[in-house]
Amino acid sequence: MVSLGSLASLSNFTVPAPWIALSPLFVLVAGAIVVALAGAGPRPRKGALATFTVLVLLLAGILAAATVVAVPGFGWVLSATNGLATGAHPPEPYGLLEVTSFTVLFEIVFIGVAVLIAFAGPGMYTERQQGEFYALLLLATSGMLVVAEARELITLFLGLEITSFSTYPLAAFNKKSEHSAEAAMKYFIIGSLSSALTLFGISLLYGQQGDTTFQGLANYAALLASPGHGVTPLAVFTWAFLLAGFAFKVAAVPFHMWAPDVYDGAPSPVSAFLVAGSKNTGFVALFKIFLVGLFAIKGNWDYAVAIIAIVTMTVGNVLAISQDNLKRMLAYSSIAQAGYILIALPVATPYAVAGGLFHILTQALMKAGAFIALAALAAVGVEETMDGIKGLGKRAPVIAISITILMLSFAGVPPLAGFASKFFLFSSAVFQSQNGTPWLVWLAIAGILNSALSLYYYARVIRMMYFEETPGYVTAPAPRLKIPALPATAVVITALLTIALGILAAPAMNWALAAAQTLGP
Amino acid sequence: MSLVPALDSADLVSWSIAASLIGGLVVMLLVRKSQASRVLALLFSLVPLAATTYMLVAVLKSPGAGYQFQHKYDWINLAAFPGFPGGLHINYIVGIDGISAPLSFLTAVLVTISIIFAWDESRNPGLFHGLLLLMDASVLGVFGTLDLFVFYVFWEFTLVPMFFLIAIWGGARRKYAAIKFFLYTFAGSLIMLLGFMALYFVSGTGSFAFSDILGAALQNKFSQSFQIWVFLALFIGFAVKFPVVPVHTWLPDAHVEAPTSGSVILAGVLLKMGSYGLLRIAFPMAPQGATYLTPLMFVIGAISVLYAAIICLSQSDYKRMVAYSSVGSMGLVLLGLASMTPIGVVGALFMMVAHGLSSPLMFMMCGVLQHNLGTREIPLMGGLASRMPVSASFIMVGSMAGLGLPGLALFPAEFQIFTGIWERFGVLVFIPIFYLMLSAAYWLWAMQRSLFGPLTEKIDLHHLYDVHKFEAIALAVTVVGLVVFGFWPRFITDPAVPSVGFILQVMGVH
Repeated sequence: MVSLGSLASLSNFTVPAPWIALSPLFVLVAGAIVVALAGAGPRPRKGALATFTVLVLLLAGILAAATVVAVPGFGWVLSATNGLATGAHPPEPYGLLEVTSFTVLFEIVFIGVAVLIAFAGPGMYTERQQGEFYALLLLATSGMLVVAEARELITLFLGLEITSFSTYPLAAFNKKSEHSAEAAMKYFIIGSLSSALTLFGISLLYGQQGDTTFQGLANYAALLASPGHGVTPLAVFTWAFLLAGFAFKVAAVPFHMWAPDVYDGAPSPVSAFLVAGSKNTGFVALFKIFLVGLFAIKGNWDYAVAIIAIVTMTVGNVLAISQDNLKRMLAYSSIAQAGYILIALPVATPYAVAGGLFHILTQALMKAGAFIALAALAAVGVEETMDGIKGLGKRAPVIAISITILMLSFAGVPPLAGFASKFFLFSSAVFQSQNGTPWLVWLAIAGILNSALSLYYYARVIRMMYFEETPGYVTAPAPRLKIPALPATAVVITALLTIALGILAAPAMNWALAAAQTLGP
Repeated sequence: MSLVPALDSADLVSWSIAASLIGGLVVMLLVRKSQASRVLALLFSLVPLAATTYMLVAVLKSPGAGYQFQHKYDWINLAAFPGFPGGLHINYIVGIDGISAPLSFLTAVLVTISIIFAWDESRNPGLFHGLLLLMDASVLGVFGTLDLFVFYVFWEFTLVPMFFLIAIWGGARRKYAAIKFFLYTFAGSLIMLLGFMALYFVSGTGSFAFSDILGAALQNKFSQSFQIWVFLALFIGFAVKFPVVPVHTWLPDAHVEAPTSGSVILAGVLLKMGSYGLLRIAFPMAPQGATYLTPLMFVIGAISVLYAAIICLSQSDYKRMVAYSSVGSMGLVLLGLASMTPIGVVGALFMMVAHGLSSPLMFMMCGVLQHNLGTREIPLMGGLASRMPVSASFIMVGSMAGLGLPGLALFPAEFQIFTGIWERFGVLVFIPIFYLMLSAAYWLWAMQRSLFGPLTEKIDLHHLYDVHKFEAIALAVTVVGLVVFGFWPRFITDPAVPSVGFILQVMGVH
């Protein structure tokens, strides 16, 4: 198999038009408009909109993947002044969007998650308001693509807002449920707060340097780091605001309180989308701002991020242990996973960033699978609690095996994907600790100890499914559950991909390495 | 010297792993009928048995320090670039030498006999036999691989089938025991993994292969303080698996709750992974750490043997007693390894094999007693020899082996280990040697209370069947092994001496 990353050396490759690079974005927006209009018209045939959405997403995904093959490892720039730019390399300084292998990696993650959710859709929702649901899903995905492609802060912010404003109504989609409405309200308020913090940070930054591009930010940071200058208190304020804003987005401690409520209250497919998709826009932003923009003053922020990382993984895991509600457990688990991913920032080598990217990829896959599994179970009346899944091993063997694989992968049992990505991530900290920054080894130790801790609650899920009897059916065997076929297929696909990505980690990791190198450090 | 030339160039290790893995999945997922599942499982288990037997014979015929049947395949290759020198190279490498050949053989034998012993398993038999085969695959992988990363993958994967074996087919407190087993050993292994990562990065070779890391160790790339830390990290991981005091507490629970076949695999081969890792990885790769921490290993080993023996004396549950006796035996293994003398280390290896036969025998007998009597409480038994003569004979052989009767395999092992301790630690040998007296006491006392004396009236004896035929086959295999290795210890020691000598030479102690 040809690894995509190995093509990164073809830096003189020319492409007739940069349209291809940006085409996934256009396809998604057009698709969203069509779906919204179709949904408003006469009642569409059952599953038609879902099918259409899946096709749109697949087209966008194929176009995105085609880009990486055609234009590997360097950027195409959409200039603010002269429309679509030529394929000049190096990119023009004032471009708004660019497509690199880093971008495409995230595009594939975002589109992939959306495909899974749209694919699993029929059978989980009622037929009402299909149009809105799928249109919002496509719009939110297009916003994520903008975030991944952004070359400067305002575009990044716009992308984040497109995503947020599309996902707020999705969180409230279960209109009759107070729980869902509460979740959406919380999500909206916290999201607004996060946006405000981010925007304030951006405005402070603009005030100091008169530029909003990441490259301009990097120049400014280099100036601060140069001899005779120093990091001003105002600069510290600035990155602290940006960090806080995005820490809300990725639900890092102490900005995590909203996550369990929202992921629990929102309908499960939407939770899957929030955890596996929109949350990762925060990581894109963190990577771009801290590793491209502020890399020169890393010594100034690395301790802060490292502490947040360790506290986040520990708090997430400790709180997950006591959860009986599976959605809340997965929410805390995703907080813990955010802590692991944050390890990549203070370590900041391409290998570490690649480990972080790979972990984002595997987490997105696994979290999407787990939440879709819960949604599928809820559709046949299984409660999303530890008690609810008792005896599931006999009632729904295929789903139960898939969930088992996902749980073992979350805990990091080899040879599954979760182990591979954790291995790369933690080993990068050990590596860098041997290269002159000894304290980084504590990140690896914290990650390792947390992995051991986390096994407890992941194993508990397995225990409930296989070692406990279904309540009410102690003597007679419980009847088999008829899980809807599409979501079940989606879950099985994620489980199989989890195994495949664990054993064949090299191609994905090579791509992640190529992506990490485009970031700079 | 080759037996069958075509087989000598074949990758027998991978064939064994693949056969048991595929067999496990097939039996687990496709077979519903119990007759089909056990026959199929037995057939699949014969493949690794034949392959490991062939390899053991080959190693016996041409002993040497090097690996035989060595094969190498690329797995994960990440290219090097600035900031990431050397890249990352993980190769799937397998090979067999005088240390791993007997252990692989033991693994294949025990899996086969545990499938035979559980012939009448009626509860979800496909899954049960499939999990046993998966155990086979992962443990053979641990003993067969020559790459740290692959070692870790197989090492961790052993937990999954065992977790299910205990939790689904176990005793009353099986859920607690299974989770405790999983958590304990997972936590220990992760610390070990940290040690692997440190070895890998400091070696700077960009490879996890044993030979590359060993090469770096020989070029003095590891400082003494680094070696001490790494050895400690590895030792924690291995000590949990051993297990030795104070990280042994998962073992009695796991053993007592596990189904008999699970106990057989657990005591027979899973415990040996810890001592194997210590000898194969920690000793040669962090030799200065090992020599620096020798006093620690001696103290832990000595406490383990004495503590376990004293606990055994006070046990009323036969299976629990056998489980604790494993802690004692493995403590002896640790002492033998810590002696770092050829005779002590070879003795430790011998002990691993001998205990891998004697403890499965006793665990199977505990299973038979449980089936026959409905209890394993020693005080409730008495005079069983008159009603269950075959069972009583097997128990007597097992107990005699346990207390180190000459002629059975544990005697030469203990003899070598204590000689090694004497050579290295001098008069300190008188501390652990008390174990011999205590172990004789608890084995004999338990035997005397359960088998002899007046026939018990405390339990219902109307349903005695003594020993089924298939159970007798499995039991007889272990007895034959104990006798053969008891009379001809050279089957194990001859091929082991060059390999052990090489490790000790690398460590600079001999």
